[in-house]
Amino acid sequence: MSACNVQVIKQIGKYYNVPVGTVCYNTDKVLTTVLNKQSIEGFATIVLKLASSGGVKLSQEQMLLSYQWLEHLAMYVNQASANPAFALGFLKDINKALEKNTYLTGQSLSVADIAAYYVLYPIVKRLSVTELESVMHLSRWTRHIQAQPRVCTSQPPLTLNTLNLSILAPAVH
Amino acid sequence: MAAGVLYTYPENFRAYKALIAAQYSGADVKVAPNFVFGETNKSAEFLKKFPAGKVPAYESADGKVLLSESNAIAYYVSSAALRGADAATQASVWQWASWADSELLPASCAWVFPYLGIMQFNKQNVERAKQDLLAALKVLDGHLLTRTFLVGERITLADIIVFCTLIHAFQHVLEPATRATLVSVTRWFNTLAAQAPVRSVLPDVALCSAPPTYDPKKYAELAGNKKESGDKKKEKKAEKKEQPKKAQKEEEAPLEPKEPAQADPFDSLPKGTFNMDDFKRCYSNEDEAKSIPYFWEKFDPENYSIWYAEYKYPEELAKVFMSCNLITGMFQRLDKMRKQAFASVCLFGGDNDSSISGVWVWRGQELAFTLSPDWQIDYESYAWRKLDPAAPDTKQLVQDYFSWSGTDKQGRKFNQGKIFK
Repeated sequence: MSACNVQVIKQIGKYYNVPVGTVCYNTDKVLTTVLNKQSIEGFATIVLKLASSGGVKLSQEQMLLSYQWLEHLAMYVNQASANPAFALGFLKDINKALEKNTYLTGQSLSVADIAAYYVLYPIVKRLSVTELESVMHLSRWTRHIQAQPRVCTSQPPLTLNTLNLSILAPAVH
Repeated sequence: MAAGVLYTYPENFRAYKALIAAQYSGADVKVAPNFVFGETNKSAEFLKKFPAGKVPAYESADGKVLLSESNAIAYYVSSAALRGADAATQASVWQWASWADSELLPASCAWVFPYLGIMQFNKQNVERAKQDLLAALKVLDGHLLTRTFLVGERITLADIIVFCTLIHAFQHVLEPATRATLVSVTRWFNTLAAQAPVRSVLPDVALCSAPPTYDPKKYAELAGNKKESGDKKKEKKAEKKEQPKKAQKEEEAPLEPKEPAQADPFDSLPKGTFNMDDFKRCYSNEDEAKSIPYFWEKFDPENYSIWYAEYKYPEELAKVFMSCNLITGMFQRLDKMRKQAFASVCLFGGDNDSSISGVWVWRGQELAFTLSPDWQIDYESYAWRKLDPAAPDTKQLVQDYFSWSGTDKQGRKFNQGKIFK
């Protein structure tokens, strides 16, 4: 069962308010959909297509940065959902990227943030309080993304209790 | 939409608040053309509208709304989204605006302005301001660790006001090493700076790339060489007391065998009544309260002269110990001059911001260094000024330098002194 799956594509389609076509896996087990009678293959390509049909204009640089993140997610997220130890390392890498950048691709919200939020949702959800504490920047970003309009339509926002905890009860006793 | 005119001089960070807010809200705010700072805002017409004569000031298109104070103007031209949706959010925005004015602004100005030459450089004040601002920024950093923006999950007036207040600090003093300790603040600042509405007002905010350096010329130019009221602080006496003792020990070291061949270049000058050795003994053994009056009592203006020397290249001085070596090195090279000369040379200021100057006394009325080719290595690095022994200014200089007190022209405090005897 893949994490970059049909459900995530549907959520992104809903966010951009565009049809996603019939999403399925083709014979090579690659995520595929058909839009405007055109067959589109691969998670990253489909997500970028949805964003552009949703009216998002990306510069060459933004497009490549987004593509890089989407590919990165598609590559590792299955292993992360299967293996909690791997998941933590995977999230810590993303956390590192979000330390100096407000958004994944830099200074503004992009399709990479939206897609990553939906992809990471189940993985972040099962983190313990202490684990969340070790990925503070990712927690900050998650909270920010889910506060954006239209993001939390089909699922409730994550609670991310640790953030509140760290503020109400700092680690000094 | 709040259409109107903003009176300000160019590149006024306070005016940026309103201009950026207007970019977000779409309010039609134009900067008054032909505004001349110090003239327009002092004109009778302007003062009638804005009695304080301060900028930025805002006048709505219909002339009904007149505002001064940048935060109020920015609030007026903001959209509801920037101001905050409910009273709690609005209050939070107001909280950050007040915090920026009370916690950030004074410290930021006191730290940045000396480096821009707008304010006189005083090491102590700058250090204090630096500490204050960094402490405030630590608080902000903690806040932004768990939050993307200051209030809520979107840009508000709070972000704009705090951002504008910090522009100078980020441009001029928050060098990369300091920014590395303020990761979240830097992240937030860069994100703000990259927003399209901000960029349309401030296309390029270049962050400070190296630790700031103080250029006294800049201040001198801007201040028109205003005469400083050097606040004379008598301290570091303890340090002073210790050093003459050490020097004394050196003096008591076994006498070197005299080289009879070399005659003292001072021999060609009349001896006069001033006994250099007696004065040095008095200076070494007695407090300045006694030795300085003794100096004036015995000094022979006929045959001896007093000079003021100032190191010509203070901007090249780096570490304090290096500057001290510069002074003692000169003393060593002038060893043969010791018998008929006395000097107190002082270093003012600290690392990378210091000056060297001193008061010299020797036999003869001319620059003594020309008497011997051996003495000519260092003296050209100093500006020499002969002092009139009768002038009260000279008395003050002698008092300051012999007792290791006072400040230099830029107001730097006395750091270390070296005695040539």
